[in-house]
Amino acid sequence: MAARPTVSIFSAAGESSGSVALPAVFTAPIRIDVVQQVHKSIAKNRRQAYAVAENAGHQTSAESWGTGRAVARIPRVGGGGTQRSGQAAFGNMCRGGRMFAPTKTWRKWHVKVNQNQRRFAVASALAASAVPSLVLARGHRIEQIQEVPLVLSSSVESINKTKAAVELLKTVAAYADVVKVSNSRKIRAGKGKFRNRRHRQRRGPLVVYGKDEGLVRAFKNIPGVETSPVDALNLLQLAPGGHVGRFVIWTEDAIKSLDSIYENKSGFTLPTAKISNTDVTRLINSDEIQSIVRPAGQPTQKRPFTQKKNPLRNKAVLFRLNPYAKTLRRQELLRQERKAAGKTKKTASTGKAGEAFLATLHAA
Amino acid sequence: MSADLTWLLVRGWNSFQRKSSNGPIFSAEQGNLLNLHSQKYSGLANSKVLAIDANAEGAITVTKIQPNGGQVASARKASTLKRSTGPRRAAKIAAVETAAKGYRADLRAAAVARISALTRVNRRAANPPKDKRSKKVAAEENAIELD
Repeated sequence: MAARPTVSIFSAAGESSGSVALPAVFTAPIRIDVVQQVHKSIAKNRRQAYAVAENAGHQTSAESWGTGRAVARIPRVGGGGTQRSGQAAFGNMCRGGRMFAPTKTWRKWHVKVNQNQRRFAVASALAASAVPSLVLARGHRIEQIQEVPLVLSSSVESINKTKAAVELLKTVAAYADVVKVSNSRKIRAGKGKFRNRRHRQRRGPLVVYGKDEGLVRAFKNIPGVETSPVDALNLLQLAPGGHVGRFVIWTEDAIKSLDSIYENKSGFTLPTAKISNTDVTRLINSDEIQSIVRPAGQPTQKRPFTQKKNPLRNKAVLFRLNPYAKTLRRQELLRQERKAAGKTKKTASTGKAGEAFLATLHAA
Repeated sequence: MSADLTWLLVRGWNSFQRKSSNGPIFSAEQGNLLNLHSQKYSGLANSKVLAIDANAEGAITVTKIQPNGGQVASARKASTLKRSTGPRRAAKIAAVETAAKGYRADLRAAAVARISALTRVNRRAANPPKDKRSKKVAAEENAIELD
């Protein structure tokens, strides 16, 4: 592989102040299928349990009337004097009955995902966050920023005022993404409104830091901006909705520690791409391919077989199949010619048998 | 990462897709000359992209986008056409920027079509075509008044 590319580090003033080698995790293959699968499973782990009431549909003393009353043997509400008495109860087909298979709070809400699959997915999501096209495709407004991944000097970790944090985002041209979040804020449809999920909005940048020296609280109140320590990266933040390409802002400290973090994950080796060159045009034009391909043929391909001819109609094919047919045909033509010229002698039919024939016949 | 692989990753889902119940899938990203969701015209999954846009005032901007590693802002080189640029010159600029400079010859027809559509909008905005129908209606109304 070529030399590892480097990423510029930008100071809080927005000027380039050195560079770091891109950590190896950014070269991991981007497997959106793995990310989606893992995201789908771990997103389930934050669900809150729900169920119908334990006694729902069982609040009557209904009992079956048994056979002989010309009604179904379903439990029926006893007594008299009200509409309810005599009505069927309990069954899932009954009005006022319990549901079929009542839901329980002890449903299996969590899904186990293998640790290395989770690590694979996080590595994939990190690699995708370093590709400008994919970050744009996720919907982040990064057209004005200098570079992806965006690395800021470690001094930003000690920012402890939101005003300074906003100023920083503006200097590195990342604030357009925050504006997008602000504009997207809408009141949620449905009952989530009453359940502490009143608004829905887009996601903004994710700030990944090495050491929190006030940074988390400074960025906390900026719409859409999330923060994460580099040693606890979370797929739900790196690929919200299962879509890779989150806009990640790194501190220098954080991005420098990524290599050692991945080296220290025991039992996990970073996934490598199956093929190193994914440029199809270059693959086709490579010497290896071009040296073994056959030269290009005719632009229009010939028919592999000639069209079938009917020998009864096509004389040439008939004569190839049956050479005698030619003689027959010639004789027939000659006969017709003679007939037309009146050269053939007509033997007038008398309607009587010949004498020789009759003699032979009568001799018997 | 190659443009081919990028296309495979953004083909299934991206935030610029505009789907409807039937008909083609459109795409709203910058650099898509036909605004069509396809590999050829994609503004995301190509190593050379030409974007032709107009702002609200009608100023036409031609942007060349050549992704190079992680570069984002510096991968874009924009130039805005002068207000005096006429449709013929604008079409020539589109053809030169795509085909004549060997940039993306396959995009010439689409680039010329897009830039001429944008200049036509500007021309109409500056000098709106006379509405024949409203003239006719006005004439008829006048005739009634004369009676």
